[in-house]
Amino acid sequence: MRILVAGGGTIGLQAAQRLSADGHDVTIIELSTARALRLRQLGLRTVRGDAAVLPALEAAGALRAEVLAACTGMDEENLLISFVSKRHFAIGRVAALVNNPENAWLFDKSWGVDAALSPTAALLSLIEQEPSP
Amino acid sequence: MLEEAGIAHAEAFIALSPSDSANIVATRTARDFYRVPRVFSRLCDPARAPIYTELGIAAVGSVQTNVNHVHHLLHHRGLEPELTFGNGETMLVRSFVPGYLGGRRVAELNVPGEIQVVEISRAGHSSLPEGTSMLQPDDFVSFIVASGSLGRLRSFLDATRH
Repeated sequence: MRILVAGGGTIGLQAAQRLSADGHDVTIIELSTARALRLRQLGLRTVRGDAAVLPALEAAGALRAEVLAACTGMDEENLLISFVSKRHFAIGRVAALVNNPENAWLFDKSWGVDAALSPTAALLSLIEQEPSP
Repeated sequence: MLEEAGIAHAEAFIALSPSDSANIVATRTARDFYRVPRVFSRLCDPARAPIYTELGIAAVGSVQTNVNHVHHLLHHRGLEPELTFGNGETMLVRSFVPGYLGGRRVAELNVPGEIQVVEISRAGHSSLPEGTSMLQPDDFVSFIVASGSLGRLRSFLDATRH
């Protein structure tokens, strides 16, 4: 599959490496020049740019992408990236990272999000499910 | 946070933070979730303007508005917009009618799509003119003008100097 990963931080990088290893066609969009350089050195196809802006998404191949993962460290950016990907580029499946679990309720179809994941909420639920000793 | 600030009863919501994305998310949430009737959002990066347009969010304090304003200050001294509409594409300007235009019809000042006379104040009384209304020297006239046509209007009004 042709996959775009917006944001090459810890989660974006790990996801991109794993998906590439599985044989997918992965492109990362990264705002920071230094980080974009580092991602390229790791052998990952990287476009430097603002993933919430149309030209950068198009340069990264949004017109042909089947999946986009919005993995930046900022929830409002992830929402905008999801919105533009779905509305302008009609990307089939848009997954988004929820950094602050209090923002989780915003991540819905109205922002173009097909699936959202909050690692913090997942971690908390694991802890809370654990019976106390 | 928004609820603590009383958003459920707010009549207007204005997002002015330095982050466009935070402004867009907050403004749309205020409008679509909390049903705040009037919302505005600051726009810092012009590249994001299409998102505002698409979501129907009115942008304030945008670079484009400032650029238009600076442009006017540089090029149209004495013909300052009293009001601007949209992102500054059209504006309301007012000016006295120069003597040489006395006796001309309002229709002669109107340029379709560029300049439109909308009001004339004469001897302290304001009226909506018809195209056939005659202008008199010292009439105070309100025009709606496309921002690119301000120079043209100015040249009409300054023609006596040439």
